[in-house]
Amino acid sequence: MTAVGETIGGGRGARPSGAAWAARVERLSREPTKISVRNLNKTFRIYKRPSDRLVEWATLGKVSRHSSFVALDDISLDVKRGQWYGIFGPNGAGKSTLLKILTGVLMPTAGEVELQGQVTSLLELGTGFNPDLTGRENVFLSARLLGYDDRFVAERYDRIIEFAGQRQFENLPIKYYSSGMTVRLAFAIFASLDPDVFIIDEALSVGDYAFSRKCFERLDEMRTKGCTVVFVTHDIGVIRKYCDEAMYIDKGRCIYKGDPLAATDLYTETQTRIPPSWEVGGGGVHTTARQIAAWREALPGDSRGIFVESTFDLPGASDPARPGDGGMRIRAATITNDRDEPCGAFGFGETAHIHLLVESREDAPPVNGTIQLVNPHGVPLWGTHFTLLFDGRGYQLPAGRWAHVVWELGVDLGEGRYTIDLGLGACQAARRVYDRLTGALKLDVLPATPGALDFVGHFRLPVRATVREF
Amino acid sequence: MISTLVRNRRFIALGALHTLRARYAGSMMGIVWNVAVPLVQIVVFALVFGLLMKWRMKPMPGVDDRFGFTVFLCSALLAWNGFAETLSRSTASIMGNRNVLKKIRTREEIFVAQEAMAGALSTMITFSLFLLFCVGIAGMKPSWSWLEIIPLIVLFHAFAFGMGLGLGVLNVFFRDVAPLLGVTLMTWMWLTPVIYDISMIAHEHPIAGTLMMLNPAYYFTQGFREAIYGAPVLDAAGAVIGIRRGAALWCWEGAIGFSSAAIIGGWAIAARLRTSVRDVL
Repeated sequence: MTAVGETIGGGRGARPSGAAWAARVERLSREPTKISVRNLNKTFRIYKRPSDRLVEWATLGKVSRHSSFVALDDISLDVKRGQWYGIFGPNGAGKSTLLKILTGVLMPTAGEVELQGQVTSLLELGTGFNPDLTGRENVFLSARLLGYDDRFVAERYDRIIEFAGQRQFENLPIKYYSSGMTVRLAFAIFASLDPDVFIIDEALSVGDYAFSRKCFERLDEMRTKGCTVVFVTHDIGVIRKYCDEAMYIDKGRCIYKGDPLAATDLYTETQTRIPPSWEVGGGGVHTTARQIAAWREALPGDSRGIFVESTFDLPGASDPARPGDGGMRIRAATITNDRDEPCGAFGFGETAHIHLLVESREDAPPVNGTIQLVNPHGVPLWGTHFTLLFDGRGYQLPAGRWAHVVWELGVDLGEGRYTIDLGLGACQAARRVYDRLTGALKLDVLPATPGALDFVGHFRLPVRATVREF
Repeated sequence: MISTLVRNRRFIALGALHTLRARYAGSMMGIVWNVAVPLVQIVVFALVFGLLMKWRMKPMPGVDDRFGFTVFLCSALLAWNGFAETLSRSTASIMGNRNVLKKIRTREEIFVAQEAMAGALSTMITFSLFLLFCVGIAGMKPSWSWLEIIPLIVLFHAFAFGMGLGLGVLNVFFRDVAPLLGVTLMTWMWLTPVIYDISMIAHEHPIAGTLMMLNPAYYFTQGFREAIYGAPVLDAAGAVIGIRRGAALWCWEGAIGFSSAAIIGGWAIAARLRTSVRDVL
């Protein structure tokens, strides 16, 4: 069986394969809790004018002149020791507010936040840097601000400067540093500290390629060491690659909490519509050869020819951590060419037929089939789903019925190896994920004869070039 | 609050030094400016009032006649200047450090405390120079009572710290506080016997002399004067029979009382509004 992680990651710390993954999830659930958030609410009071506040104060609150903005509502989460927890959502979802409450910068309006041990956040990167002081002085200054004493920093100073690669600049005021250098210094400080919980936000994406790799290597190292980390980001690639559990928030509410792959899928799929709040059970079931034979027996003749036995052996299908509540299941999947022959490699311009065998196990709301094309770095390149293709509707599949779904995909793609994620969810407000398989299928695009294609890269886009000399 | 300040004492102390340095960071003379500025101020007063305007006070025992007014003026004005600067800087310090407060779990107090400490240090430098002037140029004899200046500076800046904490927090909600403070400080200085003596107004307006007891700054400025050149001791008939060096007990009581009240008041405001401050920053 192909490991789920292999298709989306590559780094040493990336998500391991099915069984190892399940073992990790199981082990983490028994660890002590480092961060516990219960029914958190954060409501900001908005005053149009400062004088409105004065009126409220003067009347001891008897006159109300503010409007309320609920930034976070009823958020609960538990982060276990050693766990990597991802919090993501679109802009304005409340990520930063939640981050600030976790670091203790903002105070909740209602609910409880319990932190065990020292929490340090990357949000703090470079805050308190004084541009007129040297790199060296700023290292001490900012560590002091985070509550570390000078001796602690002095022991680590050499490592910090080496990591930042700024030995020759250490005695230069940082106003002469480029912004990238400043961030590197800040990350170097951050990486040298040993808090109990790290909180990491977008700041990580700054810096050049080499440094960014160094940061991720350091993250891998931290993961191996068993650090507890909370990611707050809208980079779903990071969530998919590193997190054990994820929370998808939007408009201050938790939409989905659980498996990172299911959560990020839901996110990419629901960005265009009103997000429901999802609940999920899950777990894969190992299917026996006899069962597969019985299933195949029931298929109509032409489908039976496509879903041969091997197509039932899907990556992650029997993974106990397989996402989805099982209301519907993808039982088999395969790719064929125009002649219905199994095929994994296509040339530019050919059509790939992606077949899914779906079993409906309950009278669930209309199903929304999803498909997503992912590059070898785990970055989703393209995706679509039924509601986008069928005028906002899904397909009603009653309990006990099976369906043979075909996605006909024009392979207008550049040379490369791609993987395909398949998913089944409920449409609109039904708030459910039935099933999803990450990296279910592999799709290779063959190199074209030199000069045959009019583009380079992943996609062919309509293009025209004109030159007018004058 | 006390425990916050104690826990962050190193940060505050180093921050205060760094503030003094950073005020002039990037300049060629750097930290020397902290000495140069008050030095020039004292020299200018001495030149203008002592040598150019030949403005004489009633002779003060033990002081060169020419510099009587300079000593009189500087002893209160230098203290006031230190206080006024610290108060306006600490009021602005919470807004000024908003980038830090928005991101790091830390307390507002420590930035205010940094400013107060930097102000106290800078005022101590100023007074050291001034006392050198008193001995070297105005011909005064050093007195043990000069040591009282140290606790007086601390108390005056503690007073500024308390007020600055309260006003600094309010300034987050109402940005008018900082400019309003600028105007108030100017008015306040003229209502305080800084460049005049209480006796000058108390003669003509006895009520004003009584009301002055409500002015917290008066206890401090008077304390500084008495610590530097003392107060005349009068007999029953009102004749001067001697000079008492050192701040009077009522100055100490006022200074300690008002600075404690300011700290408690500032702390109460900060504690009451702490949650909202972060939301607004």
